[in-house]
Amino acid sequence: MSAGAIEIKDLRVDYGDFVAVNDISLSVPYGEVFGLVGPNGAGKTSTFRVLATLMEPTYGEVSLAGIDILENTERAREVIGYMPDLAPVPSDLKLWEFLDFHADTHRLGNRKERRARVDECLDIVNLTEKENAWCKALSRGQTQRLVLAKTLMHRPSVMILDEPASGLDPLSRREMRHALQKLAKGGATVLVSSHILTELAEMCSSLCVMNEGNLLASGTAEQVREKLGKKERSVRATFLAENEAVLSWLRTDSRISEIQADGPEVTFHFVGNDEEQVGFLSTLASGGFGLKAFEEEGSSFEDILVQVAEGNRKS
Amino acid sequence: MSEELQRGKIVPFWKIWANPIVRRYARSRLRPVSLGGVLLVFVLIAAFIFFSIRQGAMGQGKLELMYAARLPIVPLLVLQGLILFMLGTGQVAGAMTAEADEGVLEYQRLAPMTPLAKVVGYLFGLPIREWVIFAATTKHLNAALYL
Repeated sequence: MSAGAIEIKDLRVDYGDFVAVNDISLSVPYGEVFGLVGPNGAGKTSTFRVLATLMEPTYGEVSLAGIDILENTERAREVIGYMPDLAPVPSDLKLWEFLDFHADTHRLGNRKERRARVDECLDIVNLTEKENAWCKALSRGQTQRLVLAKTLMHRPSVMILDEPASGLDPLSRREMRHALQKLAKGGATVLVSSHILTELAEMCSSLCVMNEGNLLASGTAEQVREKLGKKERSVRATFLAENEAVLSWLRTDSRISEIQADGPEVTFHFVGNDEEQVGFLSTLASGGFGLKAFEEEGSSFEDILVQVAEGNRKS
Repeated sequence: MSEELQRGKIVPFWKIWANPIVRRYARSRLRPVSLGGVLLVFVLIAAFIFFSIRQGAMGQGKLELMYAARLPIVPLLVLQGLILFMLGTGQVAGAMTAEADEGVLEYQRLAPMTPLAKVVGYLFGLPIREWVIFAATTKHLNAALYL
């Protein structure tokens, strides 16, 4: 139980009769930015709260950086950096006081040493000029950045970030993405959830998809997309001009569905393997239809998640 | 990032002055502007109780200073009891509820401190302003006892 930075084995969380997390097992190596994706109610936050030692699971084993969090909670808290969703800040403290308090709880030296670390963290999140402002006076995005600074304060080896980019403008998002990747390169393991899926796919070295408490797939973005994406491929073909003949020809092929024509551009779904697709496109190209270009569109994460959420509604 | 910062030793629970939670509330609840006004009000109330009872006993009751000065002891103890048990307890209960509502209580829960140190931190930290007011009104009690 101590190979990866995050090791989860048979984790289950029940709320009465409701199963929020259903026997999931997961291993995240050191230095990864690992994404947790899923629709609302998938069990992401419950998993995060267990990992952050804020909640005891019904059963299961969890270790962070080799520390069993259920056996040795206080020691585990020294290596965890947790940033909750819609992270709150106290209304009666200034920015530097809030960070200094966290430096103090983690025993990061005397007043001068703590202040140096506070300044360093404020600089990372670009809030140095606001150090004497009240926490309550910050905007949503600034609050998120402040809580990220708090999370970084004690240099945790495992960071658990629940929706860290919510409320951030595009520039701040990009900065946060780079900051997290830099932390991972330095050896920290970052577990992150987000609803901005394209961003998550760009940010994470690997990810997993949860739904109704179950782990549907995990691996690199490409592996997850392959496993959960639609079986049919979406193909967009562009012809020299609007072509009725090609539409008639496409309709005769049983592997083709959902044909949509927009001038010289035709999109359709094709069911078949790679070889069948090559054969199909060769026929299309040599059929005298004036084919100019074609492009295959894979299932995006957005599609995958919508598919999963729609499946939930139907069931 | 994987290397951990040099951390100091765990502070024992009885070192109240070194408890991060006490220091956090000392910072937020003892700001001169907010503390000054409240402190002035309670010191004036204590002074009024002390002098009005003592002078009344000396004037109308014709008691000697030594005996007259003892009479405000009970009213002053009642005032200090109100400060600690009513205001202090109310502050602890109210602030804990507000922190739980805001969600910031979770940060304290995640602090790597022993449960006992956290309890001591809240017990002495949250009502720290009330402790200061209590201490400030004690001089009137001392005057009543030892004058």
